[in-house]
Amino acid sequence: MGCDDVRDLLALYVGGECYDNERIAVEAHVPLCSGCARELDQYREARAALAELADEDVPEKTLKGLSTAVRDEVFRRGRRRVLPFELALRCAAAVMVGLAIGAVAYTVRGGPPAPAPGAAIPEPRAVARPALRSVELPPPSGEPRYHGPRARSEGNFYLPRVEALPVGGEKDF
Amino acid sequence: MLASPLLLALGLSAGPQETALEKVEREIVAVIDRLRPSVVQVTASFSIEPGTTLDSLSFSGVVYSEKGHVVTDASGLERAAELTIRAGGKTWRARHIASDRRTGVAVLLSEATGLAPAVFAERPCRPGSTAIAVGNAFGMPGSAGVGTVSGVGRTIVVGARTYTDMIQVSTAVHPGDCGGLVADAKGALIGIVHSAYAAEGPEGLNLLQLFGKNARDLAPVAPVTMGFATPAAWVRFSADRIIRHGRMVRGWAGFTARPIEEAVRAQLGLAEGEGAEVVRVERAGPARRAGLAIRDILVALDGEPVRDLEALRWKIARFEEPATVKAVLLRGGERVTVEMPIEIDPQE
Repeated sequence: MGCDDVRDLLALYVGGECYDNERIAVEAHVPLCSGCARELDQYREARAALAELADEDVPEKTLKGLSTAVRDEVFRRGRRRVLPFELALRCAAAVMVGLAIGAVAYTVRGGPPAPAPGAAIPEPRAVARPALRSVELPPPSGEPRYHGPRARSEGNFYLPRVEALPVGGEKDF
Repeated sequence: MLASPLLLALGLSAGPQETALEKVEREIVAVIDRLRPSVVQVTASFSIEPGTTLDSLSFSGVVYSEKGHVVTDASGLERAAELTIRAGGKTWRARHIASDRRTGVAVLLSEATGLAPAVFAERPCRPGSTAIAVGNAFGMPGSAGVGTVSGVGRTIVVGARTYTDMIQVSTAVHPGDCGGLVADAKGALIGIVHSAYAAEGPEGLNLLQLFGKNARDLAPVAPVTMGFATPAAWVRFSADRIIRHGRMVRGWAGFTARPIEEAVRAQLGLAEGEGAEVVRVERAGPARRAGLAIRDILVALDGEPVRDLEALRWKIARFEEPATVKAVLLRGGERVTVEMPIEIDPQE
């Protein structure tokens, strides 16, 4: 299953609405793909924000429809978001600069020295590849991170702030 | 021989004479010591999934009865999943019975025993009188401060809600003090801490700067705070109703009024202090059904002339059952009498 397929399923996955085979596919893909992992984080944050905005529990079946709007709210709260491909673009730019410098150096020096006649061609070195770690994902119903509005207080000690001091002596009856 | 013990006793008791300031200080310390056992720390835990805690808020409460009732401010409790109170190194679970959204007073019930209920002042406080606040500033139990009552009958807006009849104090209150106790010089509760106002520093260009006035002299650079407290009478009214009924029960007419300016009053031929101008009528309220309209002048209600809006507020709030009363209005220069229903406040 590719990234596009997985991303179509992420909202359902966070809402606990996936079929078992879809859930397994998502859980197999996400640990290996940082872009999809970030996307999954955003859905979880959106779900947490949705629950914070609503007076009742999050309606599971409506999550996908509402999550887009809620994500806008999450973004407005000032957290700078890393675009899904931002890291990849930075890496690609660094690689291209490196290749360009290498190409220039190669051209100037005329390529690597040719091996002496009869000399043994060294075996290519094996490149050590890090083993893929298995990352255990929290279950869809796991505890989402809290991004709801903070109380108007310092830390978690509460004292509401007066927003206005109206004059005129009006009273409600 | 007999005189020796007497001289010795006199010599021991003859210390430096206590100054008036020292006496005041000693009495303040004694009052604060008496108040501290009546103040608890309230912790509200918030969660999305049952059985989990995402975050919590800590503020203060005042022991209201020996049966475990605690009064505090309602806004910190809203949507809390769990509540605990802490006093004297012990923690108890608490249950939110109900809140009065008009006053912001909430009542909790805990299994706490041995806590000392606060003593309420019998008379309203006056500007200039002492205001001693005891709370849990930044989680520090029994934090106390001393100041004065700066004003009474204040109207403030907090969380898009308007609260009237509030006490303004110069006593420093901090995050964590919300719901704490404000007492007079005798140690009697005159209010519970509700909120604080922090003036913002100067922002942007003030037009007076064009005339050589320094922006720093027009607004404080450092925030200056003033505290607000819900007055004791309303705390007791809301708490007693909630304890009696298990929910907040108070009368409601569904309109907003303000005092009339003297010049207008003279034109209308009303006595000094008489009448109130209707400035808002709630869409689904009893007053609208009675035909009350904006710019009506409410002259009398239930056979009593309207002279004091605070008294009118008490009169309507005291209803515990729906009722219908006669309201006398001035509309277009003519006296009109309408039947005004009083309903139980839906607390919305």
